[in-house]
Amino acid sequence: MTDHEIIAAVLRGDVRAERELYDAHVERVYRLAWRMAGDETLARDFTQDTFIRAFQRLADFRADSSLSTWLHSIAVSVILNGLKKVRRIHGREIGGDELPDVMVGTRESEPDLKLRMRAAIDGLPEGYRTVFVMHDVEGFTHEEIAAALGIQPGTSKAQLSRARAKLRVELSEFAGEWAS
Amino acid sequence: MTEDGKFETFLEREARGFNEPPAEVPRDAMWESIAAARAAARPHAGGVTPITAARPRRALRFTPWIGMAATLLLGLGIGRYMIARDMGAVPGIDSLAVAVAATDTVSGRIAIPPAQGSVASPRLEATRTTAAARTLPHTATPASEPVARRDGGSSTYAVASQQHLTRAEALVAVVSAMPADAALDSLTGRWARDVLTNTRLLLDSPAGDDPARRRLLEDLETLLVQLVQRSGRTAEDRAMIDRTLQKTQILTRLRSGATGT
Repeated sequence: MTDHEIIAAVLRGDVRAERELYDAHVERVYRLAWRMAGDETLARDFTQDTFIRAFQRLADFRADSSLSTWLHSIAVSVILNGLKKVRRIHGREIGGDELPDVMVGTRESEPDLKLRMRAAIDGLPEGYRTVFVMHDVEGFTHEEIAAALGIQPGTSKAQLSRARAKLRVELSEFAGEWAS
Repeated sequence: MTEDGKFETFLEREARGFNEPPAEVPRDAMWESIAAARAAARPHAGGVTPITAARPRRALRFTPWIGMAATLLLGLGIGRYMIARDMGAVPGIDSLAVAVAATDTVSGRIAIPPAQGSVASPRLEATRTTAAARTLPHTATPASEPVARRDGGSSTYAVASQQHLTRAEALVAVVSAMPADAALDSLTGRWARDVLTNTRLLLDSPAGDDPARRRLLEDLETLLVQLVQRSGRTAEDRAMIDRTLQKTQILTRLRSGATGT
């Protein structure tokens, strides 16, 4: 079935079509949620919430973008809002472009590249982090990212460039790893 | 290759391990929750309504009438709980616990003595006899005795479980519907403590031998512990409880379990 046929069937109340739509897209949504949240329970919650919202709003879907792109825009919104709530709950909201506290003090105490890489990515401002994870980690194109985030592809490229520059500074101790 | 190119290659290679998801996606488990929420959202949908999945929490939290509704629900729930407790039309959970102790001392399971100063009622004695008969399957029982006594007590446990799940359902329904509020949390905390004690007794009784019922009771126990151990940080506690409600779909399952469907 094409996207159009699946959508029509779902709107008619066909539960099997709902499952077909879900099966076609769940893996990528779940992977993105996992990458962004780094937690199984949150990844599940975000994925479920994404599909529940998508089914609720499917009647509003207009074919000016692909179903996949539209779903990812819902997923990104759910994930980012969910993460904000989690941070609020944990009382460690990371705002705007400020460098998070987590990066201060870990430089000396955490020499392991993998952990430093994780801390550096987690410490990126939200916009940079989202674009970086989607592009460099999950392989989304700038066009897909732009559609999902409601920005221009050029903005996505610029944010990726800034994200990489920040990571390069944060990981400068490991320059030997990429210079060799 | 330029320095930038080398760094990007390095980054792509190393960043692959960032928050790496497991190879297997829990499709079916997630689909169950989604389908439950979808079913609840459909107009005229038959069956159960999982409040947790479909509830627009933010809107509810800031709507003025929610306080009144929550109070009403709490009153209804407490009333239902008190009626269930006072009726005692079937062997209650306390007598059940004694029966379990009487039975399972033989089989090496937990032994719970009767409460100090308690007077053994004829019903309690009947339950004890039923429990004792359970351990002696070859003991002849008169044909005129109640079914619960002839079938080795399993229906006694089933009835006790059903009664308990009905009480638990009332509590969980109230918790699901009410907003985060310290005063209400204190009330439901005390209520949850009572339900938790009986949940654990049932888990340690033959009622917990049924795998489906055991899973339900274990999930209920987790939620009750969270309700009892609330730290006072209302928002954080509420988020954790909401997550458990949603993840376990406990209200939906309690409704099914409590009605025996």
